[in-house]
Amino acid sequence: MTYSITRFCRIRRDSVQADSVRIKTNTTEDLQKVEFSELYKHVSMEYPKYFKMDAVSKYGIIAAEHLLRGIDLKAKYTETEIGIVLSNASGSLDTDAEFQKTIQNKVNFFPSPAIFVYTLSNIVMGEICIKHKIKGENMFFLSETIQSELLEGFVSDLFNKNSIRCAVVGWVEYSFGKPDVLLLLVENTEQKNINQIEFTSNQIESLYEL
Amino acid sequence: MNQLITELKKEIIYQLNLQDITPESIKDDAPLFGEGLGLDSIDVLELIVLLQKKYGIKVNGAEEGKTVFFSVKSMAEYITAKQQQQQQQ
Amino acid sequence: MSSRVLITGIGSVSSIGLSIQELTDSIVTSSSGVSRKTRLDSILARTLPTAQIQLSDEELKKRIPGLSSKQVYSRTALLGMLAASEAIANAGLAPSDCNAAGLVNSTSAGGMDKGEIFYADYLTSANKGNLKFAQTHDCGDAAEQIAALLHIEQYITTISTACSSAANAMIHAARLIKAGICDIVIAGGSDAICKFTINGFNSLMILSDEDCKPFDKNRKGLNLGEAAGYFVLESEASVKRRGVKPLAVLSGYGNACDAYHQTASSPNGEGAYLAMMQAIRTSGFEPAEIDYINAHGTGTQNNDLSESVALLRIFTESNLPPVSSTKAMTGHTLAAAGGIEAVLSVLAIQNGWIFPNKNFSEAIEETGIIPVTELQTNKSIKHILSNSFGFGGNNSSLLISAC
Repeated sequence: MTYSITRFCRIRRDSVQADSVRIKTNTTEDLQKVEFSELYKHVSMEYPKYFKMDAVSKYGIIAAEHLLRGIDLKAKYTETEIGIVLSNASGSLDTDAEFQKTIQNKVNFFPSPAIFVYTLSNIVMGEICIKHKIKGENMFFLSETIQSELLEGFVSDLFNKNSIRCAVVGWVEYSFGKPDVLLLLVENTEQKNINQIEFTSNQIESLYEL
Repeated sequence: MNQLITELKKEIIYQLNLQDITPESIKDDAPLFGEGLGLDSIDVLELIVLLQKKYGIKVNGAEEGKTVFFSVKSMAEYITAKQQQQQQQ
Repeated sequence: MSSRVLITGIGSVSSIGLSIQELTDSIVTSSSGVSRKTRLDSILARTLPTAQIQLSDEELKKRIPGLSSKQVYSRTALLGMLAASEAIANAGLAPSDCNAAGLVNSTSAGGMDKGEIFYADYLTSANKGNLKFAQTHDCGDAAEQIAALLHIEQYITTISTACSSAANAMIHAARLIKAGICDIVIAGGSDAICKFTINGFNSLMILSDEDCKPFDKNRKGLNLGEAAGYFVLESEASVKRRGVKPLAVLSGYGNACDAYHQTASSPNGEGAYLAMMQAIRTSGFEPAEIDYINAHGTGTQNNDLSESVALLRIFTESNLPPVSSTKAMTGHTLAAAGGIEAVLSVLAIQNGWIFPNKNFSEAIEETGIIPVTELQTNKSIKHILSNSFGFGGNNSSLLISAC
């Protein structure tokens, strides 16, 4: 069986303008300032919790918003039919360092609960699940670089076994101020059309190169 | 007291990363949780840290926190009472 | 594909025993490892009760033959090595079996204990700090070290999903066996207590300043602990080939996302409910056949209520099997919790035990669940549900059955 990438969202630091990120989706391409409030305004979502999140979760939420904007997944699938398989290289390292700062100094020793709750490598996946009510199979891989074959194999297997009928798949990395995100919406589309991208490791790689 | 209330509103907005909320829009005695500003359990914990950090006041546990942090006014009253206690000691 | 996943070896290290034998002895006397004794140099660990293993890293090393004196080992790796070695000996695996086996390790703290030492030195000057300490920091290091000691080469991976880690390691191992990728998998979890975790949990105000009271109306939070719990899981073909007698069967498992909050469980216990239902469904048994539930039961306000609600959604009040949490004895050992509790489940089946939920006196008003409070013996225990729920709403449930 083959499955299709029905939507995608790619976010990365712009190579020319260091204070901007380039956001590409299947229909749009934008250059936006890296400020989190700017990214938020641009997706016009009403989700104040966003501002309490750590950086990697914020980028995950923004990318998921671009990915799923304007479609009603719940009309097509139940909560447990939607899976999520994400990956990154640094886990929550950026946030781990932030928390460490709050317990580093004996005089100024105030461990922050709001930061501690984000010191989990797969927390970005949790935040996307909470926002979009995704309750199906979930997996978060840590690897040095995106492993397109693993993503293709793992997700296809979930589809083949009828564990899921739809999946959010990708790479959500953030370290040293640099976001590197690729999210894909993978579905089992019966009617193939020319605009659809087949869900293969090659296609994952070419979208990652965007 | 009024000065403390204004100061607290600014601190809450800053500490809890509240967006599009001005100090003026927070009513002194409106509930901070649930219907009010929609704060959650982690926010209570951050407010406990705020009291420790800025006013040197220790709140014992999240349960006590719920009454202390009912509103900005209850927070200000708690701080004032604790500060008076400390001065007397 | 439908072949059973058999448990042929168990091993554990915790505050109530450095081996299965010591653990068994502690169960018989219903001993608790929770105390104010601390090996960890932390102000919090001196003021709050924890369940620590009272052996230094050096003492642990002496119990593990074959370690290099030049290598730095994280405490998590050392605990894991002890328990995994015991599981392998218990299963009677030959060196050649180990070569062909897989290792699914799990941890949440990894080498943070050594990372903390490195970081303190490094901050004084960028030239300072022993890099060997820093190298143990990531969660994968413990798996690599355990695999090196045990000569496991076939398949090595690490799972880190907070407090459901070890249960998920076992699920992953079972899948490897069912998919025919491995015949034998060593799986489990290990976590050493460190400053980062104790400060983090303290900032969430979920550490109790007294001995924890799971499922009690007046529960004040959890006691952190450290432990390791490991298993040898095997396919039926491998058990037959080796001619060994399995201890128990991993007959069902489930993992589900609560999708509610970063740390809090949902009021209706949705994730817990889904995980338990999946575990029961994959086993092919009925809820009525469950003889005992080893609950996650951390002793926090949130978990115990949410888990109780989920339990009552599956088993109505009158059909609820005996329930208890063993965390009042072992402390909450985070990533290792699912491992040590699954080890306890095997012991329960072997010995006909139901474990005491210590320190309980009054039921939670909303749900009214009264756990078992004294050790029960001579019970016929065939099917046990063992729950492990993690931050991020990562909930898992294992169904362990008699052969």
